[in-house]
Amino acid sequence: MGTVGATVRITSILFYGLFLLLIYLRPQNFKELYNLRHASARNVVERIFGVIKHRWTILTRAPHYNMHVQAKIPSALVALHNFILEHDCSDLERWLDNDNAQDDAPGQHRAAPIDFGRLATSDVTSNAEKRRAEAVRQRVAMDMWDGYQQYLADQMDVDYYGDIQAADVD
Amino acid sequence: MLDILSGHDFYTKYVRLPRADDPPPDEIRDNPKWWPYFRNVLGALDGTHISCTPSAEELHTARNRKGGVTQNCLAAVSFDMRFLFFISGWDGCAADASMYSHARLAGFSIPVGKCYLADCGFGICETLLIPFRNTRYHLAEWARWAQR
Repeated sequence: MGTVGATVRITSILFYGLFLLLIYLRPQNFKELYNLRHASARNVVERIFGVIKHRWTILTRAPHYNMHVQAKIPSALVALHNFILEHDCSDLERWLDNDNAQDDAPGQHRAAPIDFGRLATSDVTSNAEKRRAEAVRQRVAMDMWDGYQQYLADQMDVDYYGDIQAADVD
Repeated sequence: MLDILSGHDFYTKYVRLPRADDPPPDEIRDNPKWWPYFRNVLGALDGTHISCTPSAEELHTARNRKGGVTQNCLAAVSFDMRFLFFISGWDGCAADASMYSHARLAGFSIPVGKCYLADCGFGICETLLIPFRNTRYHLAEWARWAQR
């Protein structure tokens, strides 16, 4: 009897922990929701790099040509990729099914852009434009959050998630 | 062969930018998580590194921040997995933001009111939607599942 009680207690603690984890993993505010959806939409660019790098290993194993020849290779293969896609849509599936088709050397995810003199963003983008762009992003994220709250309210049991969704539904 | 593929005729026929009056991409329209919030988004933008073997004097600029010897490329990609714009041949040490600034001068035109998705490395401006800083960005696969 004691063993059964302990098992039930442990199981319920585990379930409760899992439940708390799910609550935590859910986007907590409009910025997280926006970033999550932004990441899932932007994922296409990581996948396409994965596809071309797997299809043409010349992109990962450098050939010993002159540099100006090497610089043309990626552009040529990119055009070839679009050409293949236009004439054979099913070809892409073959490469996407491959689990390894993810770019293992994606772009530079640095915390802040390095100042490269005149070409860096700080000089090209004026402060006024920066503010406008931030306002646009803020509006997109807030709209998204409102939609998400509405969705949660429609879908979820209010008893479970009441404290998360209560305040922000419009 | 290389010259044909990267030559003007072939390249501009198959790698071309969307026009201002093109309808929003179907992939955006069909996904309620993105529509209508990303209705002005034409595609995604990112840099990638491609291995190269430079000569001795070019070696130091081609070294990227991870220590590999690469050339840096910038690509704009549509949601149906087509390349819209591509530049290659940048030194491995180039930052995404400077490649983007150069690309805008070199024919990467974005219609008024439209934008691309990019990461924090590009800096905020009216033609790019970047994520919020200091906020969780690469949420685990778990989160995508939990969000449903």
